[in-house]
Amino acid sequence: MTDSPILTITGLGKTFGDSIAVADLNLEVGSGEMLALLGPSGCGKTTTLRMIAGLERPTAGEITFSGRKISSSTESIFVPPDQRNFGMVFQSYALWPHMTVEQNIAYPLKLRRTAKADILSRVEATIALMGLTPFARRTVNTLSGGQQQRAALARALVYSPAVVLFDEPFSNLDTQLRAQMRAELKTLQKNVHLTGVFVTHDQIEALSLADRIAIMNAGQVEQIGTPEDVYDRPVSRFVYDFLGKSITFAGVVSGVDANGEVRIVAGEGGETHVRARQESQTSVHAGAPVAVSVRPGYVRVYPDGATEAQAQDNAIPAVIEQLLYVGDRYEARVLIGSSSTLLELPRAGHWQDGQRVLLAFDKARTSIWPAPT
Amino acid sequence: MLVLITAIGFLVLYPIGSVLVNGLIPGAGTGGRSVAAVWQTAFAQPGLERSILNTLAVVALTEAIAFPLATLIAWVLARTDVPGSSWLEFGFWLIFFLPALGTTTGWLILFDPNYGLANKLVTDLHLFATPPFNMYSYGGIVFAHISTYSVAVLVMLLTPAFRNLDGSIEEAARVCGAGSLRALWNIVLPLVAPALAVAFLMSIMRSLESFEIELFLGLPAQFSVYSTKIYQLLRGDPPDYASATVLATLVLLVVIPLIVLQRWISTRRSYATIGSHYRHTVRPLGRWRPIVFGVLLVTVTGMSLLPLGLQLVGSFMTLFGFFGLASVWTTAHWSAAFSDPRLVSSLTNSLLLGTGTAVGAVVVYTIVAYCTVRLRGPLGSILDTMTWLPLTLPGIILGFGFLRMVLQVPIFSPFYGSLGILMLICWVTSITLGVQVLKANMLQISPELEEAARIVGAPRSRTFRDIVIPLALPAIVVVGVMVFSQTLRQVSTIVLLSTGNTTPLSLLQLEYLSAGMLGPASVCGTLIVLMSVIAAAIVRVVTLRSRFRLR
Repeated sequence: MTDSPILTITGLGKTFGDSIAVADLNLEVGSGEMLALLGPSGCGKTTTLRMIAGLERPTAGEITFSGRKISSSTESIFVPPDQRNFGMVFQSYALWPHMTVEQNIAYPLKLRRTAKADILSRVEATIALMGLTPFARRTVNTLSGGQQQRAALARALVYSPAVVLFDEPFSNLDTQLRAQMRAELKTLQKNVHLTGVFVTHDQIEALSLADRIAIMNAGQVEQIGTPEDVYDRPVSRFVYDFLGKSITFAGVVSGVDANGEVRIVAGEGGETHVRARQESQTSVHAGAPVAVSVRPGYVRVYPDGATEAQAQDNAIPAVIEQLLYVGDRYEARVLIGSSSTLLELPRAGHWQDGQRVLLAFDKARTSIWPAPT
Repeated sequence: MLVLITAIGFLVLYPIGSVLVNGLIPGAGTGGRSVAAVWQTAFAQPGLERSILNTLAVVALTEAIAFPLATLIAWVLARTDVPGSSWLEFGFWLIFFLPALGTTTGWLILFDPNYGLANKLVTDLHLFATPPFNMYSYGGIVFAHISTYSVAVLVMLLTPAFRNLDGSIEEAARVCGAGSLRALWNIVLPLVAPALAVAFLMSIMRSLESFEIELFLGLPAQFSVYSTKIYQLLRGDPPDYASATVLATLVLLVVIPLIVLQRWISTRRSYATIGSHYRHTVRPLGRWRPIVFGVLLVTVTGMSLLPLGLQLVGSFMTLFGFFGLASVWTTAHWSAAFSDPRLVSSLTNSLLLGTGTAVGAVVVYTIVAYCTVRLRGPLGSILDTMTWLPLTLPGIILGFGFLRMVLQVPIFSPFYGSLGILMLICWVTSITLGVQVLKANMLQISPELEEAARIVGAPRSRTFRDIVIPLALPAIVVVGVMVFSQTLRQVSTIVLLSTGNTTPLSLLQLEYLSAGMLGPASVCGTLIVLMSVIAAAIVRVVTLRSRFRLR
């Protein structure tokens, strides 16, 4: 994030009757930055986006844009959406069915009383940028999902709004098209210096597109940081679990070193020692039951007794309970001590049901959390 | 916004309030007498009690026949594979909008006690010694009710309710071993019971609204219902306002609980009918399919094209309904009509009234419908409820209330009897259907389409103009035509408010009918139908063309 944020949100709250959608939310968005609001459905991310857009009136807090308050519940300031000069790409695209692609994209410029010649050239340029030139005169209902998505993006960009808001922009596209649009948006963002906030429940979308990710849960931000930050250094179990798969097993703390390193006994009969860094804010002490987690990408699997496994920080024995062949790899259910967990195994290698293996991983990649009660 | 609610609230509530207040509270309207005394005097009026009993008798017999019939028709249309079911359903919509006076006039050619063709047929065949059919009777009035709108309104309300029923619920009952009829009785009927109840109440309220049929057919038979009684009391010399108020109050005291009950059931009925895994199943009729289709087709045309056609035929007859004369056919009624300054001025009045009401209605209804759809909080539902009231209020009472309003409220008094006042009441009368149609359409417009416009910089008013109106335009046009044709056939609401030089065609038709001048009356009736058809056709052509241009 740059030093001076362009959009500042402080203490933002929204209640619908008795239910709290967003509570005491604080965020900053830098100029040219892409911020993702990531969270499960019902976490308040869409409500937050709609409050930024001016489509919902906050019940608490302030939103400041470029040093000017555009929303403040205490001062009764509420700039309506049409005066904020933001852009938005809706989940449903919200293209106007009674207009052609061209008319849809020209409408924001018409509202701004742009000169006719200017409108024509800018619309044409934006349509070309989005690869929509052959469809310019078509009504939007005749476009495919991907084309509609581009048209919606074109309409949001044509008037160079200060901030573009995206509400689950790719959720209506199929997997392939989604990957393609992600790449296109990333390129576009770099080329046009786009400041954006986007809402998604798809972690891959957030990790790949955002400069920073705010992970939301129950109306609040759990953690905010760069994708690497939140992925590798989650501050809570919720963030850790939400951001991808993990291999988790139970253990008991046997000691805490002076440098913060934690020693845990785990595995069959509690015979294996595992070292980890302390992740959660709650301090652990010897004898405390914990959950040990590691991202699957950091785990190497060796046949039982492989010497190179012993060279790693941590190596814990496990048993393949069940092996599923899924084409380019295996999906295995493995038992670590009494904890059962899912793991992907490479095609190369001779795996079989009941085989004993060693899972090896770095202590720096190992997280511990208080055991779920 | 508040201005709108207040204005509509005033126009809808004042007339009702004025009747009720004067009927129940002693004051200016009662000339210093106690309420009890006024009610006593009113009931001393000859025929007043009789008229109430007659009203009940008409409603009871009409419903006893129309309700089972319409339920069956609606079920067949919604749940079987009868061909052209959506067209047949549309046919019932048309029947509902046909002018009752016109169709009733048409029926006279068949069922007049003296010269009716049906009577002639059965006596010539020696099936009956004396002519059995008589339109000018209790039975005739009930027949007119059933064929003009009773069945139609029920089919309109029940068909969607039956259609929305999740088919798998019925199938589950069949799978469990219930027979077809048993499934209908045990599963389907309880599920649609709330919808049936709402439709039933609605239909009773429509029956209570009836006026012109009774006035035209009942007068010769000395058969009066409450609405014609009110009319007679007010048109008497001197007019008996006090008794009319008492009678109107009495009816309101019956109707208002019905309205409340109907609203109450319809707001809590959503529980059963529509499932999320909605499945629409139709029952194959097998070899009965052509027969069922034939019966329905005959019913629909028999209620619409046949009587209107007969009316048209009658307008070209030397003596209405007499086929045995030396010269049966003549264009005299038509040529006489167009040289009659009264008809020409009525025609002009009708056109002005219809167009003015339609234009005003379209503008205001669109705004009102939009507000009820988009307004959060209680204001929206208050507005919604107020737009519901006029449909459920008997026209003669609304007209009476309006008459009181015009006479009592200083800003309206100078306009007594003017076309403007007639427009205002026609506009209130049509508000329910108009707003409902627009509302249904606007609910289809995703709020995101408007939000998208707001975001790109369009203020609220501009969003309404550039996004909402163009998207709702087809429905707006339909409502315009609907209001136009509804205004043309309006009788009961305006009969008390119209004066000599603002008489529209429908009232002139009533006048001719009351005077037994059936030929000129058929000319008026045919003109009303023609104007509606032409309006619909023009609009259809215009919208088709503009849609073409959009592409």
